[in-house]
Amino acid sequence: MNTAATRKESVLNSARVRRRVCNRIWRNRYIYLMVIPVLIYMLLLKYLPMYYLRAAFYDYKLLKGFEGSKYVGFKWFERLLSSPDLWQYIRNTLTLNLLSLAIVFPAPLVFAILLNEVRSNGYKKVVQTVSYMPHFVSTVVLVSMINNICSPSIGVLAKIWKFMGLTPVNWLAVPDYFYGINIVSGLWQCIGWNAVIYISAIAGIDQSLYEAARMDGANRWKQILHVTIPGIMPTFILLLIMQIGQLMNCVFDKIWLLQNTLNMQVSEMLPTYVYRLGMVSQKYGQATAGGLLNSVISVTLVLIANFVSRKVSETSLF
Amino acid sequence: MKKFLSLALALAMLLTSVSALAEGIGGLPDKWWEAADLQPSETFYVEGGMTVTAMGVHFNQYPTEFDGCYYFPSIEKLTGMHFDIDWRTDSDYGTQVATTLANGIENLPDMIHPGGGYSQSVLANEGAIIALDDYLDLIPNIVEAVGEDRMSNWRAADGHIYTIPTIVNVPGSQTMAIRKDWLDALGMDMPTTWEEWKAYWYAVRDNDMNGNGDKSDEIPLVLEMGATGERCLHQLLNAFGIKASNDAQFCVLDDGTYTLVYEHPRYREFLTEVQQLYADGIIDPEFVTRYLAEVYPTMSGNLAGSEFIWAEQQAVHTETLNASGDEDALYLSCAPITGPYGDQWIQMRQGLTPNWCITVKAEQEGKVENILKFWNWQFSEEGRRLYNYGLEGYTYDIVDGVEVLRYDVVKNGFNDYRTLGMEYEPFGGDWQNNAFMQCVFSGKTVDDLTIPRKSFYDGLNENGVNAGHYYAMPPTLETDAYVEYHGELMTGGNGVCTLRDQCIAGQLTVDEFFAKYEALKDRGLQDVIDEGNEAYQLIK
Repeated sequence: MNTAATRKESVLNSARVRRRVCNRIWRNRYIYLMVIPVLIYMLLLKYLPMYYLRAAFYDYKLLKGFEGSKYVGFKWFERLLSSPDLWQYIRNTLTLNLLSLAIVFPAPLVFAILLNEVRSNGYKKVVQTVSYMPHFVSTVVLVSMINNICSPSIGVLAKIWKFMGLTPVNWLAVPDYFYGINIVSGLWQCIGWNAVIYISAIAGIDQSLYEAARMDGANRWKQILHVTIPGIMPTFILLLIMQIGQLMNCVFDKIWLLQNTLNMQVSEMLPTYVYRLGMVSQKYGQATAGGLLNSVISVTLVLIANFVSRKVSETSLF
Repeated sequence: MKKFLSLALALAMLLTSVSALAEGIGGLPDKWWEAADLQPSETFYVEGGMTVTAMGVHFNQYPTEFDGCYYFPSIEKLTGMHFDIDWRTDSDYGTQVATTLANGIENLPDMIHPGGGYSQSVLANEGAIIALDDYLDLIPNIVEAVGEDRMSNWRAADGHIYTIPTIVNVPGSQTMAIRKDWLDALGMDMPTTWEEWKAYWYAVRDNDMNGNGDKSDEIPLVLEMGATGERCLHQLLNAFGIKASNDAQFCVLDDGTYTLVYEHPRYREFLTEVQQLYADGIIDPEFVTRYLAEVYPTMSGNLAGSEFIWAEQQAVHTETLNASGDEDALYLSCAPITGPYGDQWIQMRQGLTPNWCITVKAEQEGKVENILKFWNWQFSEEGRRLYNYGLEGYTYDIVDGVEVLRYDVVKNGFNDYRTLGMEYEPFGGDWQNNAFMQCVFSGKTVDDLTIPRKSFYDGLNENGVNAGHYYAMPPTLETDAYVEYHGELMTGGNGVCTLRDQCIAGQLTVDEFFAKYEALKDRGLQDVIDEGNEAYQLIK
């Protein structure tokens, strides 16, 4: 009897839950509708292609498909891992990204804090607008600008150098300058745009905390140190974890366009190498193996960063 | 009076507009070819017609629409063949071919243009195209046009023939060009030895030749990087007696061995000398990034002392400089650079270019025979005339048994000729020297030409400045090893081309270059050499 009543109650409960969920979905139907394109995008362009990761184990021919292509097992992984070039490309990728992580990544945070301290609203808006405009410059245009600035024959820098009585340098042909050019152009392009998220995080900090700090005699520096920074730290850490997941990637089109044979020692990175294998040399199997290897390393890095963050700051992605 | 003048002016403008509309390019009205009475060819005609689909690369100013010029409608009237061509841009063509292949055999066109990394060897490897060896009896005109001498250029590395070629029967179209006015200003004669060339280059470096107050902006020797950064140095390689392939990667040694240029006994000396020239500021500091389009501004910007360039361009840039006020400026075509051992060579124009491959889909649909018969017709007298000269009575006339293009067609050189659709190179055929030269002359005689235009003629004419210096380039044989390793070991991040450039720029010593090159041979480059030589001996 009791069992039957419990079962009935359970059925009723689950029906109630279902109804509640349905009602909630219906109430928020427009929001769910907005999610559909994103879901389709993720399914089509992120999940469906995973099926083709099988190509890493085949001498994959586009026209023949998997049925007509030869299964080669771990051949491509063995070739990649035994290639002396791979480690150089991984080192290049990590070097640029670590430099970027140290310089470009925190810069928007600093910029947002500084902007927050500007008292004139008009000036603040002008600076904000001017600083995030470069984000809308396409990479191709950006690289053309870099080429024009750095050219030793027609570049602006060459003219300045000559004016100072110095011999112009072919900046893009000197490996030592490659990372610097990338970092500086990266800062110029993304500092304003990436600061938006921190500006909104700062705006979300409870104003009473600032009032309390002021009452306790905190000057503006101390307010930044003890209220603003702790207030936006969770956002910073979430972005940091995601950025660590990108350590093995790069702004592909920018690197690709800035590459030349004289800076290749430092400019060939894992993503450009994979592209070269796949789209230039039509070695789809080896390229897929390279991409898969890259993804595995990236996921591992995210997991490690997430674990460390959870232990240290109690903030994590999952 | 004012009213009368206004009316007269309006009438004059109206008449001019109407006449401009009535007479288009080449002095011909719109759709001029529709009036031509074209009868089915007696040598090839498909009753009921046949549609052939194709995917190819379009370039230059030829019309892209099927009915946009005389050429394709005339082909259809004469042969019954209707071509439905999906023209693509050269940019990223490889990705476009990849997408087409990924759509499966049923979505392949009947003919496909190899390119963008999808060479005939790669397409054959994919199983997308058929070999034509068994069909040669259907295309005797093409076999004859190719000739015994060019047969090895027609065959792929595996010995098979996969492509319908385009043939250009013109000895050369590129040349060395030098600033004659700068030579005069320096009190120098046209250089004829290596030492004289160097003396000219160093003098250009050390003097303010363009008179802009800056002694450091002249570039003594401008170099184009080439399509893949591989061939920018061929003119200097030639000067050292290394008769390189089009991509400056392969050569044939005196004993007949086909190998990589790095194996040539003079390569070390070449590299040492070129490294010094770069260090001394003679060679273009931007030689690894200067595309052809970026060579032109150095010429019209009064910066270039010498360069290897399309013969027409030295005339064009002389005219540009003259028009901008520098009336003395003069680029002249000159004989190839003479090397330290007296070598003086220039690559003969690649007379045969792989053009169309026939796909397995066309084979499945039984279209191969008619497609090949059409191409055989295209290389017949009738097809050649249509391709080179257009339609008799409209674009050319027969004078003393020879085709003479009308003045309005060639008065602007190649421009109107191509805009009308003649020598439709993306489609391909057999371009003949007579038609080519009529465009060069623009309806004039040699004596009528201006000095820059005469120099243009000298740069490509078989009796001009390059006469006696042309050599037939060895082919780049895409063996299995080449396909396997080319992307990584030759043009890749640590490939031999990259190492070569780094050595020239002084980032590596010559010894370091060769040490790294030997290491690349151990990783697979030796297979490229061995298979290449084996294939060359087989097909030559």
